[in-house]
Amino acid sequence: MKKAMKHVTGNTGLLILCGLCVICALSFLFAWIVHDNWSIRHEQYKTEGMQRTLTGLTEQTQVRQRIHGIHGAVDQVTLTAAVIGQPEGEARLELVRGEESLGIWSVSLDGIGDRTQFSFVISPTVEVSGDLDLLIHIRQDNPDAVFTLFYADSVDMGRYSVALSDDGSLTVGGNPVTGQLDVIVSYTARSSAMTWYWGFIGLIGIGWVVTVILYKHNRRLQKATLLWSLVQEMRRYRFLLSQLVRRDFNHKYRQSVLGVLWSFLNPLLMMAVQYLVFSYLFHNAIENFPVYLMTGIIFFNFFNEASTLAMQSVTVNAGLIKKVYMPRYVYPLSQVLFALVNVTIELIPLFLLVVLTGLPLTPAALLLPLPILGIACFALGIGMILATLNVYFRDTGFLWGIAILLWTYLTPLFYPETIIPSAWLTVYHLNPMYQFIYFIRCLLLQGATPQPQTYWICAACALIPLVLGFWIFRKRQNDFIYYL
Amino acid sequence: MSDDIMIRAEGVGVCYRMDLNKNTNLKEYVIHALKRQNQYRTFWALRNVGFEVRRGEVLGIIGHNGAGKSTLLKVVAGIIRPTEGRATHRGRIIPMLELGSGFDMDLTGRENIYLNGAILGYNKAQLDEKRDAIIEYSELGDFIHMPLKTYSSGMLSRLAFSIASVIEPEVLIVDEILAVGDESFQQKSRRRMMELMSGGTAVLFVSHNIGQIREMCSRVLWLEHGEMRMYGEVNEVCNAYQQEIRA
Repeated sequence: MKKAMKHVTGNTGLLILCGLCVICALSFLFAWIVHDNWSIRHEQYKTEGMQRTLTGLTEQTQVRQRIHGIHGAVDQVTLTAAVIGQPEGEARLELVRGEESLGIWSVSLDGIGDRTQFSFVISPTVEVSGDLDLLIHIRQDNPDAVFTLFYADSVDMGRYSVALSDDGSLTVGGNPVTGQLDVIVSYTARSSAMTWYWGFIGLIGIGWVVTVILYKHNRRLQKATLLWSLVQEMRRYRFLLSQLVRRDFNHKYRQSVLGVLWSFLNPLLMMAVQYLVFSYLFHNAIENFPVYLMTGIIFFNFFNEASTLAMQSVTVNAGLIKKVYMPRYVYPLSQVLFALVNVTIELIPLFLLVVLTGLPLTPAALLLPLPILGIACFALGIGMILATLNVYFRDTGFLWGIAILLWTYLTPLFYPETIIPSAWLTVYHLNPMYQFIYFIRCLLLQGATPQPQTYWICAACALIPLVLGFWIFRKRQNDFIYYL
Repeated sequence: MSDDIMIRAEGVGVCYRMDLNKNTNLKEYVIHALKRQNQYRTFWALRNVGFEVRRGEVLGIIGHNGAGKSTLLKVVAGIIRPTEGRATHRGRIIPMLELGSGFDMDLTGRENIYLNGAILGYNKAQLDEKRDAIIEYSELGDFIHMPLKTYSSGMLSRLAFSIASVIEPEVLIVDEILAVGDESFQQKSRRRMMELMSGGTAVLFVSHNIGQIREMCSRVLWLEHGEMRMYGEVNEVCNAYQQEIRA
C-alpha cells in the first residue's frame, strides 16, 4: 500500500494530470456559477437629479439629448415628467445613431403624474455602440395643463456627483441648455469577462505543469525555494496543527452545557439585539435587514477573533516556544485555523436565517469559501505582524482592541453604505473588510457573484497582507525567544 | 556530514542583547528613544563552541550554573538560533528539557498523549501504534480517561515521561536524568533513560552528577562562562573539573 502511494506521488505525469483535472473541474464549476452574471450585464445609463424642469417646451420644439458610451442593446428609455393639471396627448421618442434614425416610439400622456417616471419600451431592442441621440417631441392638447421634463445640472455617478459642464449635449428647440435630461437608458451589454477568465485559467494550467516539471526534475530548486520548503513543512506539521486546533476547540466547548450550540446562538442573539436597536434607524434603507446584520456580525467577528488570537499566540505559548522546537508560524496559523472552524459552524445559523427570511439560495452561495478564505489570509497576515509587535511591546493587545472597535464602525455592519458622504466613498472602500463583506452580501443577499474587479480587489486584500506579515514574522522569529 | 556524525556544532555563539531599561511597552520605548536612553549591553552566553557526536556516543556537558549548558542544548534542539556558527543534527530529535510540554489540563490523559506527542514531533501513525504502550508504561489505568487536572503531580510526570521516552529517537538531548514518580517508577524511568542513552542513539547529556557522567559518557565538554574550557576523554576532563572544584 505504502509502496503504491510512493509510486503515485513519484509519477510526474500522473501528478500533472490530477492537478489539471482538479483545475478543470473547479474552473468549470466556477464558470457555471458566474456565467450569467459575467457574460451578459444588464446596465443602466442614469442621470437622475429632479432638480430643474425644462421650459419653453411647445409642440414645435424638440428636445435633443446626446448620450455617450452605450455599448449594447437598448431595451428601455425612462424619463421623468413634471406635470400640472391633467395633460392629454402623447410623447414621442426617436432614437438616432449618427444620422440614422433607429425608430420612433410613443407613450400616451394620460395618467402620468407629477414627478413620476414614464418609459418607452424599445421592442425589439436596438443595438448601439457609442453615441446615441434621444429626440423627444411632446404633443400636449389640454390648454389648462402643463407637461414638461425634469433635467439635472449635476450628475450622480452612483458614488459621487459631478457638476455638468455646458457641453451642448442637451438642446431644446435647438438652444443649448446646461445640464442633462433625467433619463435612464437600460441596455444589456455583452462582456468579455468570460474570455479573460478562460485565458486566466489557461495560464494557471500552464503554470501548474511548468511548476511540477521544474520541481520534480530540479532537486536544487527544491532545496532553495521557500515555497517548496513551506509545502514540505505543511506536510510534516499537519498533524500537530490538527492537534492544536482540536485542543482549542475542546477548550471552547467542553466546559459549557450547551457546547457547540453556542456557536448557533451567539450570532443569532447578537443579530437580534442589533436588530432591535438599529431597525428603527435603518430598517427601510436595507433589504432583508436580519441577513444583512448577521453577515456583518459573523464575518467581522471572524476577522476579530482570528487576528486577536493570532496576535496573542506567540506570547501565550511562551513556555512551549522556550522548550520545544517547531516552526514559529504554527502558533498563529493554528489560531486562525481554529477561528476558521468556528466560523464554519456559524454558517449553519446563517443559512437557516437566509432560508427563513425567504431569500432564494442560488449556486452563487457555493462561492462563499472564497471570501472566507480571503478573510482568513488577511487576518493571518495582520495577526503575524501583530504577534511580532506583541513580543516586543505587550501593549499591542490594548491598542489592537481599540483599533478593532474603530474598524467595526468603519465597516458597514449594521448601517447602510448610503449614509457615507459620497466624497468619502473612495477612501471608505479602501477598507479590506468592506470588500470581503460586500462580496459575501452579494452572494447571499443578491444571490449573484460580484463583478470580476471585486475578485481582484479581494485577492489583493488577502495576499498582500499575508505575504507582508509572513515576511516580517519570519525575519523576526528567531529573536522572539530573547524577549519571552 | 559523514555518515555516523549525528550532531555537529561549529563555532556556536549565542549573544543576548540585554535591554537595560526593560522596555516592555510602547510608551517606555518611545520615551527612552526620545531621550536616547535605549541602551543595550551584549552578553555572550556561548562563544566558539564546537563538537561532534557520533551515533551511539554520549557526550556529557559539565560546568557551573550559568555556564551556558542549557543554552547549548537549546541551540542543538533548534529552539535558539545561534548568533554565529551553526549547529546541525540528523534524524528525529527528542529534547528532554522539560517533560509534558503543552499538556492541557482540561483534556483527558489519552487526548494529551496525542497533543504532547504531536508537539514532540511524532506523527499520527506512531502514536496510534504506541498509544497502548504509553498507557501501560505510565501505570495510569482508568485515569487515562480523566482530565489532567484531576491528576497528582506524580501521575502527570509519569505520563509525560512515558510519552517522551516511548519512541527511540536518533538524537536525544537530556538535561539531568529525570527521576519521576514514586520509588518504583523512579527506578523504572531511570532504567529506561539508561536504556535510551545506551541504545545506539547520539546523546547530549547535561548533569551535575559527575558520577553519572563518568558512568554514561564517552567524552565530556566542560563549559565555563560560555566558552569551552576543556573537551576530551571522560576521565581526563572529569578529574580536572573535580580538582578545580576542590581547590
